Amino acid sequence: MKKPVYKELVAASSRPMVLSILAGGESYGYEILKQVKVLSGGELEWSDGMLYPVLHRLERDGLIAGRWELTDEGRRRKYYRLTARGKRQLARDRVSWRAVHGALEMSWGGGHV
Amino acid sequence: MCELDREIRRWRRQEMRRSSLSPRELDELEDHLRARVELELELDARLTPARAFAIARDGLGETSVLSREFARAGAVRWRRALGYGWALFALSFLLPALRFEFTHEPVQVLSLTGYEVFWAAVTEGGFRHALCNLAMLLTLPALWRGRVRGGRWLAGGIGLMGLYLLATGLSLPRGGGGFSASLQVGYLVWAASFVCAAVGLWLRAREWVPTTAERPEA
Repeated sequence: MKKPVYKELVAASSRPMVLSILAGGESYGYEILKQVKVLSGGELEWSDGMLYPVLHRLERDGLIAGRWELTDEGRRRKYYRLTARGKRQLARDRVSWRAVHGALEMSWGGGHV
Repeated sequence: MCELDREIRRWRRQEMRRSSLSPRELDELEDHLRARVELELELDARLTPARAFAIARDGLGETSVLSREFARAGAVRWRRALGYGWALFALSFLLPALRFEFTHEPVQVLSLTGYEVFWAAVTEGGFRHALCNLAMLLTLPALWRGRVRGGRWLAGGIGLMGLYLLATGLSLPRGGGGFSASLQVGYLVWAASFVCAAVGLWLRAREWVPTTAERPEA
């Protein structure tokens, strides 16, 4: 059985992960959680309660914006979308994570480990 | 789904009592719980809605932790304004608030700090000053737990009081009678602290209202 990804790494990747998912279109909490699971093949273990503070923090920082909508079942649901600022942040995050990923790949591929 | 609705109502009541989650935050979590319950019922048809709800609720974790995280991550404008109000309030006790000048010979000047004015009000029956401070104390629970009873009324009352204090300077003796009194920076800071706290409470009340949602366009 595979070991789950370290908590610290999960936390560090939460922003680009949420921003990337929202780059694909508007979404809401539970749906985002499901997408994280699918995208990571179940390797990133996000607890249900972990996502909402992340969403609120991103909203406070202006990277995403939320709006309330009534679902077909008459439930209130908060949908989030990426803002222009969020798009710029995602581009920066992408560069940073690629740099980290590239460096690690190089070091492992070069027989340093 | 009556059973589920009952469980959710009970959960909301409980959380309103014991956590500092706002109705909007509870709305969002409720939507999450309902979606999770649907999934649990799909996965195991033998589950009762109450049991599925318990699983979903446990999956969410401790709401006290969640509410702390929300408070740290969420819109904190109101908390900041209320915090500034309290900082000004505390500062006003240290700053000079009143200055008396006795014009009789020999001319004497007496300057009192906010604390000294407050103490004089308490000991010499100036209850209006003391009551103002008491009203400020009522805002403390909001700063502490994010919840306060009658927040809108308190915001209105404190705001009006602050404006009144700023505008009129209460019923100070002005000139005549052999001495004159003037308001010092401490008094203005004291009065401004009420306005600041009122703004904080007002912003909080705005965030505390339930959500209004729109139906998506077809």
